[in-house]
Amino acid sequence: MIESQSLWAFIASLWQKLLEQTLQHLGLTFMALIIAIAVGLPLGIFITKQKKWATPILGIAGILQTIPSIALLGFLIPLLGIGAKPAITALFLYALLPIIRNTYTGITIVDAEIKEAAKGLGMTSVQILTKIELPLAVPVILAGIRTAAIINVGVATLAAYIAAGGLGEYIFGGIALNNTNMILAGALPAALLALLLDGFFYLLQKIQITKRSIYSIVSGAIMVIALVSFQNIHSAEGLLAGFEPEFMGRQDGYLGLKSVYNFKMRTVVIGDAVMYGALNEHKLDVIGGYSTDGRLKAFGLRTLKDDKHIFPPYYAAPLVRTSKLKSYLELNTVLNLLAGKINDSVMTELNYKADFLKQSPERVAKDFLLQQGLWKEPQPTTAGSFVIGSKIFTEQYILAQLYAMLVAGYTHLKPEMKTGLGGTKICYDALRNGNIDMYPEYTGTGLLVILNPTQSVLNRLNGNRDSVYRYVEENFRKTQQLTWLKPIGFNNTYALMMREKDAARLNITTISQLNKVN
Amino acid sequence: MIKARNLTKTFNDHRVVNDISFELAEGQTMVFLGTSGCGKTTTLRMLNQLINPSSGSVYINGNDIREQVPEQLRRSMGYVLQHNSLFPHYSVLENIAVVPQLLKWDKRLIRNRAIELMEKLHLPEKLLSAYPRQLSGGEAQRVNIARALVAKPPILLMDEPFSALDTITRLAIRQEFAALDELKDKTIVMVTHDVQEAFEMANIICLMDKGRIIQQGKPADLLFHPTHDFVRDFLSDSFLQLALTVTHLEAVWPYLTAAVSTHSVQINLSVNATIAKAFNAVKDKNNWDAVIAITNGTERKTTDWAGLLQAYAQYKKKRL
Repeated sequence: MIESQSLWAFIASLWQKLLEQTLQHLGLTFMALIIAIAVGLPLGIFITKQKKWATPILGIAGILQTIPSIALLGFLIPLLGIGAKPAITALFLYALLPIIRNTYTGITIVDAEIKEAAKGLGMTSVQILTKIELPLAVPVILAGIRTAAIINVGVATLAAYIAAGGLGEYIFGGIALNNTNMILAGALPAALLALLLDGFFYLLQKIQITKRSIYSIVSGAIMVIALVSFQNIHSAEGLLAGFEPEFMGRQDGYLGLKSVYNFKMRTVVIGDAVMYGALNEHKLDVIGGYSTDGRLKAFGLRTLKDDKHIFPPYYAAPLVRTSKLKSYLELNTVLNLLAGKINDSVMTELNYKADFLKQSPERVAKDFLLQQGLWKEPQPTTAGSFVIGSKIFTEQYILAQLYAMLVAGYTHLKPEMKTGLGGTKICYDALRNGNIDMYPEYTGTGLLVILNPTQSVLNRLNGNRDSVYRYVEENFRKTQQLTWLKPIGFNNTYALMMREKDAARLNITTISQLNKVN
Repeated sequence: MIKARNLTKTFNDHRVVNDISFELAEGQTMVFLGTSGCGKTTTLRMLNQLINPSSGSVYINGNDIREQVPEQLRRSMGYVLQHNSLFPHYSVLENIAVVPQLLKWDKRLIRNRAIELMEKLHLPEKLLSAYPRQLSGGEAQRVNIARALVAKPPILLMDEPFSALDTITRLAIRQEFAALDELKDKTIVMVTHDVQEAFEMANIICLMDKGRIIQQGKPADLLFHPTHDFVRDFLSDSFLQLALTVTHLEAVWPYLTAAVSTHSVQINLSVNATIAKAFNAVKDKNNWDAVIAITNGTERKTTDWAGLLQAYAQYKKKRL
């Protein structure tokens, strides 16, 4: 492992990119905040005047708040595509509740005697609202905006999943790449932003509300918010590539594309779950995907030939805790039952069944085992449990199901599933810490993400399937107490993909050709 | 000036105010007296349309108030509530300026008027820039009164204006208030649960219970000629004090024997003052030997508190 750079050196080397992302982050946060204020404030006022609407409106805003952020982004993509629009919409929905609720509360708790006096002196209801109720509610409303701003700074990290940029790019890249410095390069500024915003609104709240100060407080807040809101608007022409955070930081990914191919295409960061859909809907033109993905078939995508060999082979194989294999000797045989059974086209077919025909991973796995004559009814469990993990994409879910069924059918161990772990680092750490006993890993990932060998070693291995496997197997066995079992057969390598139609029209079959077109 | 006909207010089938009528001439003070929940505040709030009656009408100078825009109506009436009704985010000046600003007065005029009122209410001018939280209870209530008086409304509505104050401050402000020249010719409607306050300030008292006016009339009538046992019971606790409050020196004048020798402390009063006021003056001097000098036109008599009490006893005996 190379730990040559300190955190500060790492951040210093990236400061320009970081600054840009911080501004993007603030831009997303504040744009959403402005819209939420523009909508939430009138709504909050409305429900103080029409009390019967208070419960339904606060209820709906409350329900929006409980939708998990990733799920909300997922819902918004079919409606709004990718990029800043769905991100700002999601942030806006999260910011609504605190703003509506605090406006409502702030106005409601203004002393009844004072409202009574204002009315008795002859103020109209509009005058009472603007001269008495709203000014006196300002500290409470500001507290709501403060809460909303801090929620938004946090949730805005997820914007990286839908190509809206922000500090999440480094956070998710770092998690995927097992790179703590990278995680911190995104997380520290995000935390700092949250603290600064919190402090800013705290100071605003502390200012004594008087007839005069009220205008300066409100206009000050709006000025600051407006200033940073419009950072995020950029337009450009030409083809657009979308890569997931992990791809962005890998030598056998974007870094290799840049250094080996001199790749210059406009690029956004996007979560892999939404990447294919975005390509299919013409929001993106090129993505870095997995060569066995079922959506290749479903969406009619063309994989471009890696003519300069930057993507090493990624042969999938079970990665298992050595101690577990030693305690249950039969496991070795059972987990190797799949070895060599699934080639590229079979895996693509299985993925296609799950992704496009919407069959459950369980059903896909069981059908395959039945077809191969490997299916056995589960045996009674008497020997403890065996925890199977997976990363968060379809192929991994199917593989995890296959292994669970094999373990249940051939041993007395009780298979347990911990699927959907978000990235290599999380899976690997879980395995090392004994939270899971195995997960399907790819030789190339093991090599580049976890072992991270020197360039000379890489040159020696030369992307050869067998030598990479041998190198990885040996190193993991010696230093990590983890065992690579036999490869399953398919090679799920990274690949650049385009819509078949576009590729045909532009006559592109290799990455070099793509680079020239752009 | 103010006339109410058969006012009734029903909240959720409960008659809070039940068919009451009253009339008040210009320059008079009417006090609605009663325990909490008797409907007195609701009655007051029907006069400036803060509450609309379920039935019945209010006329001001002969015009039904429903024909007026409520906000316009309210701006023409001063309104005093308990002292925490000042706007906390407005300075004293801004609080006083509320109604004149609604009436679009000139800034300079507002300021001069505010300064004038501050002086009359014994408030230092520098308080104009202070905020309500910096004021004492007494100061806040004086500002409250100034806010109601600033636009010189012919009618003043007061809802328990002194009851949030401590006893000593309350008495002081009440006396100041009674002496205020701004109040001459004002028609005042006040709500209170304080019997003594009602007797000191009212020309007419309406004693209310359960939404009805049990008796309305001059304070002395309520005290000496109660029409119901309720009225007698309500006033019995402080009968003597109230009797002295409603009896003017004029009434006991014939029974005063000019006798008392001179003393260093002397109190000068006219026959229009009440006996209670004379006693209060003695109490204020904190000298029970003080001489009370009373002038009746060109005549003058001197006495002390015991002499005054004797004269009252004789007056009382003659009347019965």
